[in-house]
Amino acid sequence: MTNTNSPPRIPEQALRRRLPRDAAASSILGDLREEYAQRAATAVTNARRWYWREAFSIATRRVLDRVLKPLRPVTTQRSSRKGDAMLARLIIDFRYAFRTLRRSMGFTIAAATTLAIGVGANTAIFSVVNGILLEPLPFPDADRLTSVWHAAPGLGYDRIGMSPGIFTEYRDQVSAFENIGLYVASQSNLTGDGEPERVRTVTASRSLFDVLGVNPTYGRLFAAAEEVPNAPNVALISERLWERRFGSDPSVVGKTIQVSGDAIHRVGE
Amino acid sequence: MGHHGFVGEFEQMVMLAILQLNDDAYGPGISAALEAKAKRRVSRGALYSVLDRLKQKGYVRWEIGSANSERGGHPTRQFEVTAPGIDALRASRRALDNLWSDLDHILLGD
Repeated sequence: MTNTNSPPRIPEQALRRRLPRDAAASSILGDLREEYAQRAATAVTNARRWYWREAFSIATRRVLDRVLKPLRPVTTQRSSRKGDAMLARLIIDFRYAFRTLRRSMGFTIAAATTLAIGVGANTAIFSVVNGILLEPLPFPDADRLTSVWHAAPGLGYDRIGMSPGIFTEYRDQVSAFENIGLYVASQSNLTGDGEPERVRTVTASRSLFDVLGVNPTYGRLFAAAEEVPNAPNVALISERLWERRFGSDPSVVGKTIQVSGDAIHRVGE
Repeated sequence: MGHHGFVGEFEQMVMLAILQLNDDAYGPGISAALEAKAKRRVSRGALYSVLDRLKQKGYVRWEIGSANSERGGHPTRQFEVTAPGIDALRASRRALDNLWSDLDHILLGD
């Protein structure tokens, strides 16, 4: 139930708490009550809205006046609180900047757009640089991982791949590395269950997983018997593919998928 | 009263409204006078703020009046423009009159 002669309680109580406890402040509450009663006689909803607005305006003006008081030359009172003057200047600076910008909207829009593009471009570049150069690779002892490749500058090749034969030579003969893995990245067509799709694939030696220090969530890594010529094709699928295409189903281990036409037995995710 | 410069436009309007209201110058009356005569809608926050400032400058004083039930037991506050306030208004008017003089051919119109 609302008494139409009484103003809304919440703004009145809030304003009472903001105002000092003296007769002058009390008279403000009385003025508002009197005006509210006159307005409510014709339109209660409008009167309530009016009361909320005016109570808010009085409360905010009091805060602003207290903060801005140190800058007003007429007052002989001491600055009421330390730091008020600095805050006041800051507010005045912001208001001045806002008004200046509002006066020249074209410039403001151009400057804001330029800033937005600049900040966006920098963020994008930093994300790439951070991901590639600054952040360590997501493997244990990432700082001990090294890429090895061959070069033939005399022939004009700065970077050439490694044949399986040379890889086995390195693996068996070179003691500088704790372990060495071989991989070739490419793309393949994944068919069979559901829609065919183009996926990124890596043909890898069994040791690559030891080098990177990773293990499958389900299933097992490649076995030694699977690394010899004419061994059955086996594959591990990424967690992302497992979630997206197979709905994170653990029972996919051991099933067969078609990769670019070849039937491959899955051994792990 | 060591004031610097002239009173602001809104300060002048509030003091003039108080003078217009004579013995009935309290919050709601002043805002009503400003709305009626100056066609200016006044937020109560701005009005009470400027009244406080005018009192600090010594241009306005007030007296606490009686309370009644219509006002929820809160008293009224009657405002009055002081002699320095009237001096300030005169000084502002003189300055404006000087600046307006000889500009009728530009500024007089409808």
